[in-house]
Amino acid sequence: MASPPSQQSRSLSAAFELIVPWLLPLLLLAAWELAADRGWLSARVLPAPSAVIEAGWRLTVDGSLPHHLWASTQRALVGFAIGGGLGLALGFLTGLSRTASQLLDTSLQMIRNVPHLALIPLVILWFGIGETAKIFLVALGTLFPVYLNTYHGIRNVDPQLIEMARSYGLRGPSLFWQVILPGALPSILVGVRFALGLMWLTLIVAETISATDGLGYLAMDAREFLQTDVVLLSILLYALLGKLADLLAKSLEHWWLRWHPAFQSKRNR
Amino acid sequence: MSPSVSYLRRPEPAPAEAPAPVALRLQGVERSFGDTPVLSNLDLDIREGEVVAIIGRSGCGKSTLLRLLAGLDQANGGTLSWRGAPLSQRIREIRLMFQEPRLLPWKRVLDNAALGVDRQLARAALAEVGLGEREQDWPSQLSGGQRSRVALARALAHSPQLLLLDEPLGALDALTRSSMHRLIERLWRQHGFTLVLVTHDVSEAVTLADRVILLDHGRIDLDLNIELPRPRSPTDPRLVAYEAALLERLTGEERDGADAGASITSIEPASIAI
Repeated sequence: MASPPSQQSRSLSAAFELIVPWLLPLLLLAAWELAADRGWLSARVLPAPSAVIEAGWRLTVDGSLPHHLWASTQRALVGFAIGGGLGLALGFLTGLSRTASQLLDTSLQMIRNVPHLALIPLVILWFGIGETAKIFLVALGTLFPVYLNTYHGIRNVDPQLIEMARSYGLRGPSLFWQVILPGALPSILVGVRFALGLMWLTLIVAETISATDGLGYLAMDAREFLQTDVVLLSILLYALLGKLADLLAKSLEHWWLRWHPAFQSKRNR
Repeated sequence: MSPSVSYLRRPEPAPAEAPAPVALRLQGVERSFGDTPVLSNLDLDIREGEVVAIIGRSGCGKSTLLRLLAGLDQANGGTLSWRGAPLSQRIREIRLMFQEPRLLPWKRVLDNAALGVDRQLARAALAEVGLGEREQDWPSQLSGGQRSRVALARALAHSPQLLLLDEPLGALDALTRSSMHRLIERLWRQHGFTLVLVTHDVSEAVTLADRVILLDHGRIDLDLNIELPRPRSPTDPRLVAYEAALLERLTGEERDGADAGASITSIEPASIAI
């Protein structure tokens, strides 16, 4: 901007920036509502957004939606904690030790190339259709993005910085906490964001195959009774939950990477 | 040295009467990478509190020498000792300021300067380089010259007895460089550390150093005392003469091979006094 913007125009442009990403979804929603209202779209194919909201309200009031939502969230979080934690630990191990990387990396890369959803039949044979199977799948899905990005993050820490820190007396844990981990963090967080996406994807597949609760079950159950509005509701909820997880990861990025020029807001510079 | 400028010296006995003891001693130091010898049979004594500049063309081994002194690399042969003990045993007294500032971008200025030491020491060092006000900034918010000063403060916070500078000012503009020269000289006077500076800039060498050592193919080609009072003005004709002589020696080698200018073993200050 050529001239320094006034306080008012700055807050206006900030508000504008906040609204712009939502313009297209809102527009689509309005068109959809109109089409359903005029009868251009059959309620069997695509019920109106208002009908979806109504279904949401109905299911919230009778307590089934919170129940399913909580069941799914629990699985997602437990699976992600196990998979992400394991990926992080393995990434640290192979990133920091050449022996570990020689020993493990090839095997991990081979396993990584098997689509984890292809394991579903095997997982059902192993664990049946209980909670373990779903959590196992989520953990498997989230492990590799976190592992890969942690490993590469650590390997790509500027060797000049490590050399400098060593020559200034940093060793072992203090070198790790002060130099290696912060240097790898941007890459690790990219892995976390990938993993969060895969977390929901894996969960929906796992839940549509075999479950007695959860969002995936809700959608499959509604399909049997031709409740298109409930099916749509659960799909929209997945979108919202995915966005929420991404927002969480983004805010972590903003806090942890606040030193990074790309994450510094104009106000702080 | 005339009495009128004696206050510019460190508060130590004038080296003219009793030469300071040798602090850093290199004997027969060898370093080669594969079959390529980089340093061959190098002997060098540096006295306590001395400022020595090492110059030479690219690939002459000056950076390798500095890395050996900093303990970042090991010699293939010979001995390096600092104050009578093997260098590696007293490496804590030695700090290197790298060619690039090498600040940790995820640490604020204060925590960068406090790497490996207490924050109080870092705060004092930042104040000395004139960056006390910026201690809460991120490195990405600083200019190139300010980053160099943070790197200098980081070294100072360790109270080094031997400070090594590896072309630390190469990337700075002329104005910032000359203010860095004054800063380094002031800190040297106040702290009295021994200073070894590697540079490709002859003018920087003669401005800062008591002694300029010209390396060529891993050997000492010239060891020249710069006998000029401090602070030195870059326009001082004697300084300009030193600079010209050194430059001629450097470029002469390039032109005619290693034999050119071999007859010059020292430059008498008397001969260049105007």
